[in-house]
Amino acid sequence: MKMEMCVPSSWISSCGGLLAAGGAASELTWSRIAVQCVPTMLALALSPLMLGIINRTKAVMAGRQGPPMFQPYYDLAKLLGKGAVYSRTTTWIFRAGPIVGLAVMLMATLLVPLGGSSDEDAAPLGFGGDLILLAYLLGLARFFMVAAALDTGSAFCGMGASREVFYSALAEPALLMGLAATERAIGRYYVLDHSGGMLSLSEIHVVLSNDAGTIWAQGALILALVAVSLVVVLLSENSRIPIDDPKTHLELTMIHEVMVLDHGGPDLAFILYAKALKLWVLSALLVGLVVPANTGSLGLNIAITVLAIFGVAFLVGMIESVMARLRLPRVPQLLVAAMALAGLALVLEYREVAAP
Amino acid sequence: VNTMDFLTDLALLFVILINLTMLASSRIVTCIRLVAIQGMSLGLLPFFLTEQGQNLFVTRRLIIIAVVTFVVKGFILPRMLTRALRLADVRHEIEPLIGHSASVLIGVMLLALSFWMGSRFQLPELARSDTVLPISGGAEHQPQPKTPAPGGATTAEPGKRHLSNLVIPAALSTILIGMFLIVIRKKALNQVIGYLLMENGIYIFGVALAYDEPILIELGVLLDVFVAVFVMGITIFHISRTFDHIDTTLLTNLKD
Repeated sequence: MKMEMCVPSSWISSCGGLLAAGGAASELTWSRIAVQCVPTMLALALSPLMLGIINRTKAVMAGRQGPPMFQPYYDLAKLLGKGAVYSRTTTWIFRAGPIVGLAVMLMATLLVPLGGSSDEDAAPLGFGGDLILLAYLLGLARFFMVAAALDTGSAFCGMGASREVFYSALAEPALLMGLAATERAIGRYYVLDHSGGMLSLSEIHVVLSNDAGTIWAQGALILALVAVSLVVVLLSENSRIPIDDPKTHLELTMIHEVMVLDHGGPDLAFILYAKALKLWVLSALLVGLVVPANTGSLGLNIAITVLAIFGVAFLVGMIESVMARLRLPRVPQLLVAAMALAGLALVLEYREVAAP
Repeated sequence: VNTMDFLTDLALLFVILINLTMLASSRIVTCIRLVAIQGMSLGLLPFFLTEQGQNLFVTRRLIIIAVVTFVVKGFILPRMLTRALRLADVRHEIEPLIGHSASVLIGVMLLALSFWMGSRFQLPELARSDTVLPISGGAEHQPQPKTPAPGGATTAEPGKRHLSNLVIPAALSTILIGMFLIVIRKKALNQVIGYLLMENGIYIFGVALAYDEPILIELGVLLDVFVAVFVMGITIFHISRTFDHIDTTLLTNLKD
């Protein structure tokens, strides 16, 4: 939102230099910055709606009327109006967890592009290597979440923390390998203009949206493998159904909910909001890969992308309606399968390059 | 990329994914179904293989081979395995020597290994680089021109094989994962399935070299495996019967 305005101007211009298409130095005016802030503002405004869509989909599939679409917003408003209660055993770590989690997710929304089909319209803070930064931002948020859960001293929270760490350790390689395979697959068919740097989400997104037909025709198998693996990662990272059930609260098999059990009031609101943003960010990543919009008009691109992101929410709702949660010992197998798919995509990609 | 190459890649990728799924599944029924599906996709594989844009396999003999493969690998062998399963009355692989998640990871490593080995292997040059297909053994098979008429778009060198670069890695990984299954699973039926997997890998190799290879070898391999499964099915049946018997005797002994 406004954070662009706060950073030193030299930094802004260096970012602008990274983002500008080779040579065509864009004038970094305030209107330019305003345009770049649109994706982030959309993420901030619309991400809780994704949770509403998921719940509504599940309700309709189950033949219920379900809560209103905007229920997550009401929940957030209600929680923000409450006071927080802190146990005497907790320290500052417990209070830092939700804040760091939210800050990190805000950061992540600045890295993931949303419908921009030219370098200038890509993510506000995109740079070479931001793909790795994204993975580690997710890791940082998780670290603080886990530390806060352990800080409560409750054995129940500790159990959830241990599961969270185990599963994310399996999901993270899948995410990184999948993105690396995508980067290579795109680099093979398209001479990358590395003005935006290598391993950049913006670069992947821009190149893919400009030449989607060719790249998908050439590397369909690889990109499809990556997309499937990303769906599993998305479900796992957002603790959705085959891995974790976001609705259960007092059950021995839950993961995420058990960690945040001791948070209340504004802290819980931060956690919920960060969770919605995480869902948004990972969906935007998936959408950038599968539905690379390039209509020529930025507004239309963004509209298509946002619709596709809501489509991902619908898909998640459908998955949750038709599937039961996996037994706990089966969850690592699903994540390992996602890892195997991403690894297979990467191996295939290397093979394609090595072949004459 | 032309459609046939894409279909080849798709079928081979499917085969690879089935290999990995097989490592993850503990139910023997699932494994049998998977091996059946794999056999069917292998039966379809010859139809997708092309040589310099020409489909090689539209000769009567090869259609027969493909159909036989499809039926034997896809229906008959699985049917026999299911029968053995019913007779031996085993359902699950209770505890494999290596856990399912770990074995999937090892499977991916074997896959990477076979991709690496595949990049080292050099397929033999075509036996003949003239315009006559070597597979046309007798006069009844009209030779097809391998290269289009002069002026055609193809500029491929004669004698150079044009194959999907997935063929060799898929074959190698299927063989390796089949062996791995034999090693890590304790149930005899699962070991038979591992053996079938290995055979499927050999079949993919055979398809890759089908340009030169006499068809008799393929038939021999099929027959081999047919007999092997037959024998093994009987063996499993007998093993189970024997153990059942021993168990009950032991139990009555204990009571005395």
